[in-house]
Amino acid sequence: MMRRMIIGLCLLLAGMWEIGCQHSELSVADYQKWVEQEDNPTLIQDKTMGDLIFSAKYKPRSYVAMLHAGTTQIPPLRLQAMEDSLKGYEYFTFKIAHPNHNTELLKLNLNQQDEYFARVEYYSFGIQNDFFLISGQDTIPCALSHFERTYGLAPHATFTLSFECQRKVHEPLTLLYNEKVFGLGLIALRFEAENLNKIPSVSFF
Amino acid sequence: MKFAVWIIAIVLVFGVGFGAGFLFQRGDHTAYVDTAKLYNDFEMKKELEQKVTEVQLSRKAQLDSLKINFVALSKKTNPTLEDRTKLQALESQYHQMQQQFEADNGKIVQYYTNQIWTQLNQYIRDYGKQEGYTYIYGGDGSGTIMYAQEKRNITPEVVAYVNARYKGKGK
Repeated sequence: MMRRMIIGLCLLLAGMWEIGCQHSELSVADYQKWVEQEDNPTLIQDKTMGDLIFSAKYKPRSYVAMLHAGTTQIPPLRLQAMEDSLKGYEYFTFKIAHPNHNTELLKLNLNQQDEYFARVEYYSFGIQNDFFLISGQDTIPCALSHFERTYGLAPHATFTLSFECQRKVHEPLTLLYNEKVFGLGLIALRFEAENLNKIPSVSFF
Repeated sequence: MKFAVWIIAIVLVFGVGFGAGFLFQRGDHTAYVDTAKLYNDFEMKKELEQKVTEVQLSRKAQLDSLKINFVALSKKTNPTLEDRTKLQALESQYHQMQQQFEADNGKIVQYYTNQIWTQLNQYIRDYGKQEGYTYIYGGDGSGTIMYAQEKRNITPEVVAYVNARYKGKGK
């Protein structure tokens, strides 16, 4: 009787361990799928401000390395080497969307045509100076910002961002954007440390 | 017989309980915020106010230095024609700058005030939705709310919420 109880308890603990560690390791393909989920609460933070929705996706280094490799059939050593080369940087995808607007976001509340071109120029070059990342006590300027132009095909604006930053395990990250086009001011999106620490790792076995 | 009475009693108790709960749920859940306090305690307002003060001080310093030159020149005992021309130019430059700065200061304050209220209104809407309020009134002392029970004042909770949201926390 006692033996059965001990075995049952062990099985229960093993089950709980399995559930608790569900996301701790994923295969390369599953990892990519997990990161690319549209509503991944671990990696995505968003904020509605007036008519606009600002969202940011934290891109783990392994994922960025996979994108650089361009394939899920990547040998472990190569992935590791690529990840090492990306060390010291944090990556995000930042999106500005207007849910009730069907045309290009840059054409929203436009007063004259010149303003459109000024916005294109700002989103392509100037916006980098308005992104910051807070990590611990440091406010880090954006190292790289890339605006993905859609030429009127999508009602949102998407930016790829990178920051020269090495996050400490206990520290959250806060992405700051000083919104100037629509006059909304500072938009902060905070990624809690506990969520970032839950990000699974890639398993090859 | 006794059993049937018990069943009816239980059904009645639960029925009344559910009915009361349903009515209470449907009742308007209202509260008010002291808008002046909310505005003043909002971190964004404090940060932008600091920025405006810095800009205004730097502009004032520019004007003051121009004024010093202007006053020094005007106190000259035997001014030459060149001095008088320079004085006129300085005076005109001073007034032009003063007008420009005043206009710009007004614009920048208006621009920041709009930003602050856009964000505050959004956060209050989010708070109302999250906490299930039917109405949140703004008690700004201009007659919107003439009286409210103190327990309906949710200003401290809203101040904490808007500042947390401004810093990027929660949803």
